[in-house]
Amino acid sequence: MFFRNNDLVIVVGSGRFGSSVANSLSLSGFDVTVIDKDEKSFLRLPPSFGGYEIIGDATDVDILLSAGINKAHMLVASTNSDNVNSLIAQIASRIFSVKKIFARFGENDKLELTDGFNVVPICPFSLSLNEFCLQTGLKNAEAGK
Amino acid sequence: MRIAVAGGRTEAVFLAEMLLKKNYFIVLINSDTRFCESIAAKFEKARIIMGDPRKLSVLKAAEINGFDIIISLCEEDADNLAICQMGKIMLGIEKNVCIVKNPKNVEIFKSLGVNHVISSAYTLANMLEQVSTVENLVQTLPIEEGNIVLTELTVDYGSPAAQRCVKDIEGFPKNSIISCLIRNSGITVPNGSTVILPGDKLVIVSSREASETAEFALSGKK
Repeated sequence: MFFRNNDLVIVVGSGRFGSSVANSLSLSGFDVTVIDKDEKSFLRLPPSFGGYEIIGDATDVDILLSAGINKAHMLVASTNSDNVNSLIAQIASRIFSVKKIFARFGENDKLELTDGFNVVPICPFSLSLNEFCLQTGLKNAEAGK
Repeated sequence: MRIAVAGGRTEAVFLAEMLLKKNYFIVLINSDTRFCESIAAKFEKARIIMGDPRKLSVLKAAEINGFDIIISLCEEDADNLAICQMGKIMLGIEKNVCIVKNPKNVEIFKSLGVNHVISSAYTLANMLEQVSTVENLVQTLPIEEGNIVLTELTVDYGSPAAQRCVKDIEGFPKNSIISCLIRNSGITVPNGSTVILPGDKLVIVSSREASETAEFALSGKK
């Protein structure tokens, strides 16, 4: 792994992906803080989850600050809005110089917006297509786009 | 000049009216069918695109490549940033303007490449700073690049100018004049022998240097 244990990780959006990422990181020994607008979303985290939970809008800098973004080594933007993920990833990169940033994008039309930022995009669509092509040996028509 | 307006309702209509008067070519993009129909009937010269402006495919279909300005008026701040950035990076629209709900995003969006970010709360806060002491019912308006200051002030019972003739007010500076006195919604231009009463509203014109002294002489507060 590219970071030490006990490093602080912020996960924004506690959906299926976000909550699983948060739990995996927590089990591996990272300090994890999860931010979500909706308190109910935290129910997706298992009772054994050892990290922190913050209810709030993570596009508000004050919420990110209260989650400790100044000290964070990694941020995962996994809300259900591509534009929100893009904004949070850009704030983390440009303003707080977070070293490792992941952003989930449901559509791959806006990947260019985070070009030039140290943001690793995760696109379920592309990943599924890659996997399909890999399993079937078909040529990936979307590759290189 | 060619301008694209993404989202917005009353703001979009207001802008469209203003921009069409100046004979600019405008494209309005909105996802609300009814709204699009009503503005299409209202603005014959504008191009109306029905679709979600937050999507790149819609912006591309609107054929706004190389336009001069894109204005984004969506509800969510994150959407407005994305639209401005898509305009700049993917559609070659160099200038952009957007609104934000969260005033803290004004500085952030500027650092992320938006040219003009407008927040009503941010603008209000800046205006309040200029209106020096709100609680003393003093309003100031700088004119001529701030060299002349127009001050509006209400005289209360404790003020040193109350029950005095204008000429007897202590410490009233030279480059300053009480240009107008408002009493019981009647307006008079006071002279030296006009008596100032508590409750009177005064409009003072002064030089920048004299404005605070004048305010102090009339209200007793700084």
